[in-house]
Amino acid sequence: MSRPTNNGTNEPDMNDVQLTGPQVEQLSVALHAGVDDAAAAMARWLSVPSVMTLESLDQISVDEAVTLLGADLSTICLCAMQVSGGLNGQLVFAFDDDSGLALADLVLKQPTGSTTTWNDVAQSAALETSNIIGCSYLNALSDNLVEFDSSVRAIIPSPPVFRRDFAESLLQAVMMEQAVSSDTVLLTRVRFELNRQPLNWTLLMVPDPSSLKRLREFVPDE
Amino acid sequence: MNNMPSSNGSGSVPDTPCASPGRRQDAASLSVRIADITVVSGGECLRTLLGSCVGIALHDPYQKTGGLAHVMLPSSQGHTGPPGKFMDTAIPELLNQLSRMGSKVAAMTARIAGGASMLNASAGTSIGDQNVAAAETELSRLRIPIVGRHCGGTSGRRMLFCTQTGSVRIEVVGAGDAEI
Repeated sequence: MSRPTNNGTNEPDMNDVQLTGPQVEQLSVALHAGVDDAAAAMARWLSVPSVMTLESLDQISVDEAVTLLGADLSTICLCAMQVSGGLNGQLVFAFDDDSGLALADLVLKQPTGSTTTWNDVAQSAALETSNIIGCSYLNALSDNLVEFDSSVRAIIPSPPVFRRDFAESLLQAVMMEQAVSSDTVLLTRVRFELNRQPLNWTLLMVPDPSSLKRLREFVPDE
Repeated sequence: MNNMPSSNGSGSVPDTPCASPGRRQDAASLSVRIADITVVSGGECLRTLLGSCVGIALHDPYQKTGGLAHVMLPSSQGHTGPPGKFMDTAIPELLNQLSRMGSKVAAMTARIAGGASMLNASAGTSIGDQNVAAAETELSRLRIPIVGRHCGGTSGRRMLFCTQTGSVRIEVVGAGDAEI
């Protein structure tokens, strides 16, 4: 499955590892399980009905990926976790200021609008939420990947770090590991709903090149 | 043709007014996307968003030409990809494109920005640091002096290069603008 690369040609990079259509579908099943578990964990943590939806699982050009959450002067906040074990890469929980500060109010059980700046307490609320969602997501994902390959170990996230910066600058850093050996990145994108209201939060998972290669090898191609 | 921007990849997107330091111009600035190279000769402004990537701005003050490369990685090392992706291919390609517009290497100066460690402040040399070091090595090899730099740290940067004057403005979230 060859897609145009950002060198303006249709020539695939010889180092590119591309999942086939059937593999993407198989992987989507495992990711759905991760999303369902993470939504349940979020509902318990926030004490409100929560829904997470696997919006997309795509291999897209780096050029396209870095502008996914905004371009030019757009700023975002993100909590980034390095993942290791069964898969290596980055797991990122991203949101704009308003959505993130509203999350802090929810965690701190304050009326919406009480938190107006990213102070230590607000950052801590976002980081803790990322940790809970991330761990649940990865636990369920590794449980499901074991069905494809019994040697897959648990996927462990690092403690999250909080950053607020230009969206494009941050996503460059998130995509960098995959971009070393490929002009495309495999990206899973999850959207959120709380109390039946869609939220401007996004969960992105970006496996590194070695993990992408392993997925290519062990996810069934049928 | 010399007034037309030239790009090697996905193209440049004019949409933001060029605000050069100290005054606002009517001309639009052109966005240079990741792993892309754009050269101009009509005094236009070029802009790009940088994290661990490094922006290389080359300027010929006599021809009023300039070009900007948004480089992702220090070395191609056998990997294929667009020339703007790697420092060892991007700078020679940028130079070639400027030379084709009549610029002389001997007249050129460089300003570089970016190379931040955005997500990890762990021990070891980050990709950002490696990108900056590779830019310095390549520019030194080509005897192009670096007359301004704004590199390192942990923050992203918006780089705005005015090819009329050669000046580069740097914007950082939560900090004041700087000119290099």
